[in-house]
Amino acid sequence: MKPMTKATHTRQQQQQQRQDLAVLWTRAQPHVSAFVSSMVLDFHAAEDLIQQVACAVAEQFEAYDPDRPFVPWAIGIARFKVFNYYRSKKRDKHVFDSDAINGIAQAYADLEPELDPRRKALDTCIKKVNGRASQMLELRYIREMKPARIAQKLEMTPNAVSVMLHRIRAALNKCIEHELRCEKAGEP
Amino acid sequence: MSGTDINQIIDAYLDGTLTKAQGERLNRWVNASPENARAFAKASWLHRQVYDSLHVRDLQELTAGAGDTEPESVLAQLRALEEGAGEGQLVNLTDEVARREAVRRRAARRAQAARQQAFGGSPAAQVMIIPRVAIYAIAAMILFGLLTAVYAGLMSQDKPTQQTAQRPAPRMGAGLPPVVAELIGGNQPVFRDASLSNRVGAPMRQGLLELVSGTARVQFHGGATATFRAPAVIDLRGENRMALIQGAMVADVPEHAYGFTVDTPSMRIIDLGTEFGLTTDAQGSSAVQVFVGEVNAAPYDASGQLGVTTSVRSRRGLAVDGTTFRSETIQADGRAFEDIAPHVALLYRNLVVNGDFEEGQPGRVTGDTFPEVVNVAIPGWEDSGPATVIAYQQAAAFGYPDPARHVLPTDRGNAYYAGMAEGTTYQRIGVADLSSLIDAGQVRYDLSAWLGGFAEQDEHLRLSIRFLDARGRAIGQPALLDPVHVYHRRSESGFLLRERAGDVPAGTRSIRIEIENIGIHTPPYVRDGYADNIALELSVD
Repeated sequence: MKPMTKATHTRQQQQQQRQDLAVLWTRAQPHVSAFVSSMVLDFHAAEDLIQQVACAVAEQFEAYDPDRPFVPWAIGIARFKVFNYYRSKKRDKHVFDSDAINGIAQAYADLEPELDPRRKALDTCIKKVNGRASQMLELRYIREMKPARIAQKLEMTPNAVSVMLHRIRAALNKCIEHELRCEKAGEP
Repeated sequence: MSGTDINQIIDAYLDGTLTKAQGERLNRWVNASPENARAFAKASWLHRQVYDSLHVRDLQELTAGAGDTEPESVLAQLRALEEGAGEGQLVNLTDEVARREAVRRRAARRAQAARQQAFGGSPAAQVMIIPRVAIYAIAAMILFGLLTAVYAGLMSQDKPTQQTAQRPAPRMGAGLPPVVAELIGGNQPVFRDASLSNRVGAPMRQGLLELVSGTARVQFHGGATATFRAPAVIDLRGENRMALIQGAMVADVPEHAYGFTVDTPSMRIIDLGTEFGLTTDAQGSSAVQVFVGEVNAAPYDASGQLGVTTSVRSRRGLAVDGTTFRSETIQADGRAFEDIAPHVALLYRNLVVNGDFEEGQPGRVTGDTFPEVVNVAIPGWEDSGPATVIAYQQAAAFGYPDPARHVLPTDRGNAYYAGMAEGTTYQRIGVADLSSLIDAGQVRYDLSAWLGGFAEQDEHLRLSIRFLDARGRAIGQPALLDPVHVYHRRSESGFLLRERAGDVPAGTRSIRIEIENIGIHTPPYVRDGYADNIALELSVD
């Protein structure tokens, strides 16, 4: 067999590294996105930040220790990006101090094993939402309207909209728990 | 705090309705225990997942509905949707267009990010395309052209104005759309549609136009002229109406074309007889800058409704973010349009190169009783005798104007000019690109500088501008700033602001700005006439 050149070996290593990263990031991305979105409420700003995190993860991937879990490592990078984002927007009001951000980042890292099953359950639950609740979710999440605007649209008070959104989320949580219990029990 | 209370506060946070007091409570609560942080993480996770799930579903529905359909029939579907919608129902055409446009923009953003990751950056970044992004990216590629066309088509169905009501219905009828403009110039324009001619005089029909490379100068039949820079996506909607979906343009609108209207994804501009520049980026953010006259500009909001109209006058502009639809007033700066309208780059900014003398290395002051300084080359300036630049802090120790004690320019930076011998320091500023406005008597100048001197000595500077024609001959009278004499400074070292304004004489093609050193000292001692922050700005009435 023709011996492998050093360049070929390096290329193969790089290719393997890229494949590893693709697999790891694909699994981690929903968790990182959720963490970033919990800190940066503007969905579009959050998306930009997630892209920055993705680039930083790729750049720093060589420093990642494969014996340690990937999601906490990626969330750690996201945490720094969030800090930088807060610093760049220091005139805006920010709710959380650095201790809280660290605590939430840790919570997301700890929750990782639970979140994939929850997401599958949510996909099922969200299909069950209908009627006015479905309209409310569409206005809030697809058209990205705030409660005051939704209230105008539906001729409700902003408070009533907030209460309804709260109830829909509570119902979704309840449905998720139910789906997870059924899944565990092996029920359809 | 009860569970319900905190859950409501978390929801208020996620919906952007949190009060300051609630924010402080939430922060304290999250910090109180890891369990609380975990509860918050679960709630905020749900918020993001609902957003993602609904968007993926929405885009899948859009893709399924539009993939095998022509733009016109999508348009017809949307119209039917509006006609069928009863009173009080949520769906109406404007909202649907806004929603689809929002989806398109998000898809385009994600596609762009995916492309960047796939084709650029580090090798590792090439694999960073994630499943959800991939769905958006693929859908975006299918949908981008289609939805752009639908969006542009729908926008052209806006409530008719006086101009648009009289024109034939676009695209929908039999035969070719009407000719609304013609190509009158540009620099090697190339259009996406290869059947379009790029020769001067080529007719331009109503409809979408994509300029792939070069620049194109287009004369609308209504009288307005627009110059576009590639890459640009343009919708020619009528003889006095268009949309800039992406790209950059400068419009020159004579009085008889009053009312020339330009839409972008984030704002509408109605011209009131003027010249303005406009940019729209891939995210739909737009910025209009007015160089001559006045426009009315109104931002769209997230639901596609027009907001409050703002009057924007020359030297000002308005920028609207395509994502948040927030608008802000900006200062016109024509340098962004220099390649398509070189003359606007000469307006509303300081044309003096290194007028603050911050470029280059200051001469070092040395000596005891009589400080000495070496003459230095001053970037941007030529001199017919030695001149130098002095650093405020370093020279103050030798008795020169002292930031701690004397009146100095407010925004002085590090260094200032000081003459060293009889002679003149000067620079010449070309203004030939403004010749038509200058010759029409519409251009004014504003000259200003901080001039100063030392203690009770009356050495000073004469700062003037001379207007020169195409052959370099002086036209009219030079404009001289009032010198700062010792009695103006009350025998104290320091600077005073001097300003002068006037009309630029017709025929002017360049302006020579001169600093003349007046006094008795000889090198190496500094002639104690100083200058800083020299500014010459041209504007149009």
